This record gives sequence, structure tokens and C-alpha cells, in this order.
Amino acid sequence: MNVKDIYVYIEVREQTALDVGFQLLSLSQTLKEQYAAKSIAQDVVAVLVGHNVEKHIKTCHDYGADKVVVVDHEVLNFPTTEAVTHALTQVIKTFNPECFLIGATVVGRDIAPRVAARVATGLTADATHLEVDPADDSRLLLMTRPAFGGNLYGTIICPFSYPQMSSIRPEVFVKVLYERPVVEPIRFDFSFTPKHTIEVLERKVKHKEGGDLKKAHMILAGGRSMANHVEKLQEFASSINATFAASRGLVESGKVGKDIQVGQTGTSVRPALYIACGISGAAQHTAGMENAQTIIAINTDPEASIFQFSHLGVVGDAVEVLKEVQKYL
Amino acid sequence: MKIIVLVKQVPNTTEIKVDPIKGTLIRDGVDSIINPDDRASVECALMIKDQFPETHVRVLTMGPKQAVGMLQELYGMGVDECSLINDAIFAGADTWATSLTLSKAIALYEYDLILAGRQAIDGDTAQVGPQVAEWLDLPQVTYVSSIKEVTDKNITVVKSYEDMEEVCRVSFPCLITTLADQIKPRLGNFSLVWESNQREIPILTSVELKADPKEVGLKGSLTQVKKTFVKSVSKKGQMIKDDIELAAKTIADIIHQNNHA
Repeated sequence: MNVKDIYVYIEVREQTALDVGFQLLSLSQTLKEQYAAKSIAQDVVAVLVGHNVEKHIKTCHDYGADKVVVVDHEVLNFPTTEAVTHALTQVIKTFNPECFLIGATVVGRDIAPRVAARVATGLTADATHLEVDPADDSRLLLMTRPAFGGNLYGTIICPFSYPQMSSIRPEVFVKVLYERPVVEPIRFDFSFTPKHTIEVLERKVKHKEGGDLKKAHMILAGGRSMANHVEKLQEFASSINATFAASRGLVESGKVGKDIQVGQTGTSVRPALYIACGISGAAQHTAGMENAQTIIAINTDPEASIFQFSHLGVVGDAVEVLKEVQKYL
Repeated sequence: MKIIVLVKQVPNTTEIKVDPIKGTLIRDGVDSIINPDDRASVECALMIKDQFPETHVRVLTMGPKQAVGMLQELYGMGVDECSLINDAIFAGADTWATSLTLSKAIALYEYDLILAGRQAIDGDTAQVGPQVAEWLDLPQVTYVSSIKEVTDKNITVVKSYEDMEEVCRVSFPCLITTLADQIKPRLGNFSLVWESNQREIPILTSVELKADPKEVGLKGSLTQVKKTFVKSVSKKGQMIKDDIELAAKTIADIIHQNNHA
């Protein structure tokens, strides 16, 4: 079978395209270059799935798409398991992509396994690093992902089937303004007869304690040892316009909600500044914050592994230290 | 009503540490636990059984023989029947081969509802539930944080998105994956635990599942692990200790720079 090109699912929820799709288009341009270095020509193709999605075509090109396949239908206005699985399966069967990348959102992680099973290919979950195998004659994608709570990394390959599929968490890669020329999109003829009936009774916005972590410019996060000082940390965070977040330990203490958890099983963030207060630095946590531009860690234990990640490490009690910081603000 | 719950025994990953010199995982002394999201599924099944006492709850797990201990614990919680899917040729399976094997086991029984945890804490893939649903051609609802209502025909659940909650109703048969966050599992009942130690746990091998050795385990997997490694951590940055004033001034300076960037 003749397989070609790197395809990226652009998830659109009620006309809003999720950023992770654009991040993966930019990543795909890097992979395209790596393939080109081996004299393998690939295009980066955005698969824009939703309803009334025309306005996102240019954005796809801006962030790295050479071509855009548009799958537009009213049943796709909000991405449901059955309709999107059907759409992506049809696209894959029609175009035979070499690689297929999907953002590991709640929707992406719901549909990607079904798409992979339906087209009979392997799927790597939540890859954090992708590269083209440097070995001669290899077209393999090396997909590296964390396991065992981030303590171990595995490099996964999919050698017998196509496409080589991976899901990738939001904010692991950054979107880059490639500004590829806008070309006439490929309009995909989508016909679909639903079989599984899932009746949506209500959709409502979740109450968030700490604002949107992903968009936060500065984050101040507390660990389990801060369970009795949550209010003080929140006050300090708001005084410097930072968003308050927590490690899994602090969430498990029951003092804060899961919504503000940073880490592999929470949210991955990459703020300009991350201040870790009383966080020991379990791999589970650092996997979600190590990409912050500047990391300050404050911990009473001089051997805490968080100091392996920090640009500035302060040995001391976080509450005491922040009280002192207040004097200089 | 007939419910099948898919459960995995996992190492307690929060206890796993890295040997900084050898660069390997230290697994000695790390206990095995019921995967938290799966435990929530068991609780959901038992809540339905509380409401409809004629409900039959069957647990299926795939894993090594030591998982029998976990199944006995689940009998203690009140499940009706447990089976262990175990065969040397099932080992080393990726999610494709795992979900196929589980589907073959599920197909041996009648069911209205299949419950599974969203993901296991050792692999964190969240792929096995949806792939089982695909093999069995069932509708699925993943990321379910709670169950609102159950009737003899359908189930109404709350699905949790990143920034939103959805209440949806799905007809039986279907597959649901659950989140541990808001579902508090019950403790084992002492007399049930006592009885469960006497109960035989049936083992399903490739013979019972009529599984072709080429389609299960490592051989049947579509993905391969090329290599594994322990992450090399970056070098320490600047450290300040015993000088809280210097630390405070430095932190304040960094905050200022970022607030005016």
C-alpha cells in the first residue's frame, strides 16, 4: 500500500478549534523536515472536522498545514464518539496517511482508540516526544511516552500497520507561525447513519476554582505539605496575579479540587513562571510542569527532587519564604 | 441486569522510585493495588446492584496468577462472580491485543452494561475501554464521574470534559469508563471477605477463549516497545539556603520581571 503524509485531527467543539490541533500541525512540520532529510517527501495535512469550520482553514495553514481536508456536517458540530470515529476512519481509508496525530483531549482519547481499532493499526497514547527513526531506510516514527507515573519512559514503534498513530497531550508542543500558503481545501464527502444513540440532556461549564491553568502566565502551586496553608498560598498567588494550582498530593488531601491539579494525570502547563511550594517533585508532577520557562522551588528538604528541575531552589518553609517575599513586592 | 466490570491489578506507581545510580525502577516492596479508576467501576456496579438486587456483577481481569488475591478482595466488596484471564501467550500485549482478548472473554457471557476504569495508573493509556467497545460494536461513554439514574433500559451518567460536564443517557448494551475522583468505593464486608477465601476463581485460558496465538499477547500486538529508559533529570539550578532575605529578594525580582514582560 502506498502511504503518504502526516495527518492531524483538528478538534472543533461548537465552532471553537482547540489549540492542540495547531500545536500538532507545527510539530508535524518538524517531522516533515526529518523525513525530508531522508529524501522522503511528506505533506502536513490538517483534518478539520466540525460544522461551519471554514474560518479555521487559514489558521491551519498558519500553524503548519500544507493541505486541509474539511469534513463539515451538522452532526459534527460537537464531536461525538460515533460520528468523529466514522469521519476519521473514512479519511484514513481514503487517503492512506503515513502518520496520524490526535490531540489527547477528553474527545481525542475517546475516539483515537476506536479509530485505531477500526483501521487495524497500533496507537501510542500521550506521546511526549516524536521523531523520525534516524536509521537508514526506516520510515518509523519513534513515539516516546511516560509510564509508571512518569518514572519510566518507553519509545514505541508501530512497524506492521498504517497509519502510525499517536495521541499527544495539549501544551506538550508549541504552535509555530509557519504561515504556509492557503490552498483550496479538500472537501470530504461525509455520509453517516448513526447507530448508537446517546442522548445529551445537558452541557454545562464546570466550576473552576483556579481559572484556566493552561493559559496562566504565572502559576503558584502547593504540595501535600501545604494542606493547612492553602488560603495563604491562594492569597499570595492572587497578589502577584498568578493562578493557584496543586500537586496530586494536595488534591488527595481533599483541600482543593482536582481541576487545579498539575501533572501527568492532571493538566500539563507551560507558564512563564512556575513557583512550586512544598512540592517534592514526583515524576508524576514534574511531567506536567517541567516545560515552564522559569521554575522556582521552595522546599524544606534540601534533597527534594523538585530541585533537579528548578532554575532557582530555595531551602525553607514556603509559607515563611513567601511572607518575606511580600516585603519586596 | 447483567454487568461485567473490567479490572486491572497495578503496581502502586506513587510508591515507585528511581534508583539514581542504576537508572532503573525500584519495584521491590511496591505493593499491587486495584487500579483506582477500575475500583470506581466496581463501586458503580455495586450501587446498581443495591438498587436492583437481582443484578449480577461479574468481574473480569487479565493478568498474572497473583491477581487472584485482588479478585478475592472484590468478592469481599460484594461482586457475584470473578474470573481471571491468564495464559502465558497473553503476556506482553499492547492495547490492541489486550482489548481483543478481553472482548473474547466478554463474549462468553451475557451483559447489559460493561464498566471499566478510564485508565490504569501503570500505563495511563485510556485505550482499552474504547477498543473493547469497538470490538463489541457498543456505544461508549468515557470519563464518567458519576451515575445519575439507571433503569432497566438505559443509564444516565455525568461525563467530565476539561471545562464542562455533560449529562447523557445511553441505552443498554453499552460500555462506560469511570473516573475515581468522585466515586468512593465501599470497604469489604468482613464475612464476605472470609467466605471469599474459600471460593475458587475460574481461570480463562486461550482454550476457553478460542484465541489464536498469533492475535494475542506480544505476537498479536501492533505496537512494540523499542526501548525503555529512566528519564535523566536536568542539572540543578541556583540554590539558596540559610539566607531567607536573599531568597525573598530574588524571588520578588523574578516575579517583577514576569509581571512586566
